[in-house]
Amino acid sequence: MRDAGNDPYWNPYLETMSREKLRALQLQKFKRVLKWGYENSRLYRRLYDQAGLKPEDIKTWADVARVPMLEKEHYRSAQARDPWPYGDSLCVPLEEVTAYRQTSGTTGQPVYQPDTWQDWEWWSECWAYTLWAQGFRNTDRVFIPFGYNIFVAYWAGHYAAEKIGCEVIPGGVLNTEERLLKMRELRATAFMATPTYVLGMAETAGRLGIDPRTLGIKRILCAGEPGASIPATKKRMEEAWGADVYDHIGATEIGGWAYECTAKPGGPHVNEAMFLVELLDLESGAPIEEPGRPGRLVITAFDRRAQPCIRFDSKDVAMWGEPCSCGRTFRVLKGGVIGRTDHITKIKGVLFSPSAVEEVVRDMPELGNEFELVVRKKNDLDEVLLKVEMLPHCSVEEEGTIREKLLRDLRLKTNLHFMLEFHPYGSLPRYEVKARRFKDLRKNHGAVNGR
Amino acid sequence: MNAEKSDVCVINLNDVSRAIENIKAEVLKLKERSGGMQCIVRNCERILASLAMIEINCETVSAEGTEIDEQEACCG
Repeated sequence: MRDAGNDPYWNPYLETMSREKLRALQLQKFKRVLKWGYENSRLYRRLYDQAGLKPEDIKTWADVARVPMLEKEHYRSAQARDPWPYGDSLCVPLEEVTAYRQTSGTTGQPVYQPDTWQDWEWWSECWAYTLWAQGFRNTDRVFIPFGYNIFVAYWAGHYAAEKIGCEVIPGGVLNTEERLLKMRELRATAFMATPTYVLGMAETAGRLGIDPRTLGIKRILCAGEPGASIPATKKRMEEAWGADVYDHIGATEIGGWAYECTAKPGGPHVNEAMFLVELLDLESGAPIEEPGRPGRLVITAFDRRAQPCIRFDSKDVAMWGEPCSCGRTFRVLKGGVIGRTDHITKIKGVLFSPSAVEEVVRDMPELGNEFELVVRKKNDLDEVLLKVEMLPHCSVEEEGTIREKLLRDLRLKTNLHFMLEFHPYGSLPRYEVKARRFKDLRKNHGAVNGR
Repeated sequence: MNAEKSDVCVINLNDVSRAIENIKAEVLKLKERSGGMQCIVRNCERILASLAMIEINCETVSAEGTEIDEQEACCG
């Protein structure tokens, strides 16, 4: 038996498997989950019957590309049927469901997510890959400053941390100040939160007269927003806390499907043993294999049973990166999730992704962490308004220089001219979970692909 | 980041698979013998779910229509 604590991999067999073998394993697993969905869910059977497709037709990767994609709307309409509340999407008897979660409902009626106990084991298994790759070990005392509610968020992180032997502190109903004091009192060594909340906690600590760097936090897992893969935001968090910050990507309907490792290759690895992640061209839908070209993420969870996720159109945009030095053969998504197909929009005829603005704002040390972006019509012309906060130590005289630099950098990054508003520090909305900083107020919102 | 050669260990995945099947069979027997006692049945279900995770972690690539050869995995 080796010293497991020094092993960089949770599963060295799968994480370092040759690409050829990994692809063969993925095809094997894809066929199996497709059969499971077809045989056990009326939703999938209907979808595939309509396409004239049977599970046994799927033999090659070219066949996989013919399998109809699933969208949130499919779940919503299937869930309007019996048995309540999962309807036709359920693949197991209702009495086998042991966990309920739901999506946030940002884009409409929330999707209900049933999980069996085995599914829940699987959730925490996927997160165990993440935590282990980020250096979490049984010597860590992990604080989880999360509301433990109806959303999946850090629930699986909690169970995964327990699985790998960490001591887990559930920071549920406490407010931010109480959480910080508890982290200090118990000498937590790690925590998990959205980038927005990581930065918000550091601000609150400052108000309490606590320097977050003195708290002894060694590593922070970020999920829920792409900030930990945006260099300027990652730098802000790491400097504020004096800790390593790592990205993780997951979704209620999919699972925890990507994780950054300690080599920090500029984005997370896709867990390709548990998920098939396809990157498809935003216009043509053709598969993208080469690094550096953005595409739409379509994801399959191989081992989820109660409500399988097969070729799910996540509406997220990402691009492949270069191989990582950590030895994992799982591919890297450069910059993590870099946008949403339903947020990528045209402004004055220019393709625009709000995440580009975050990079610019967070790269300016004179500005606070919060900002708000509003796109609106003025006299039939698109106008982009960016609201930012100046840090308290910056003088009014500096505003002109900052404004000039900000406008120049935004122009370089987006090819657009912005209106700017400077607000007093602390006056823009603060968020505990996912931030909602982008508002498109135009009536006829024309996003990419006509969505 | 890669582990040193001396750290490399080899496990036989077919041995792992056989061990899982043996444990599964024993757990199912235990369930049968429980007389329906929920304290046994439900805990057996949990063991089976954990076993499924080991199966997922150690799954081998099978050549279709052929017997699987003894498969080894390097760890580390």
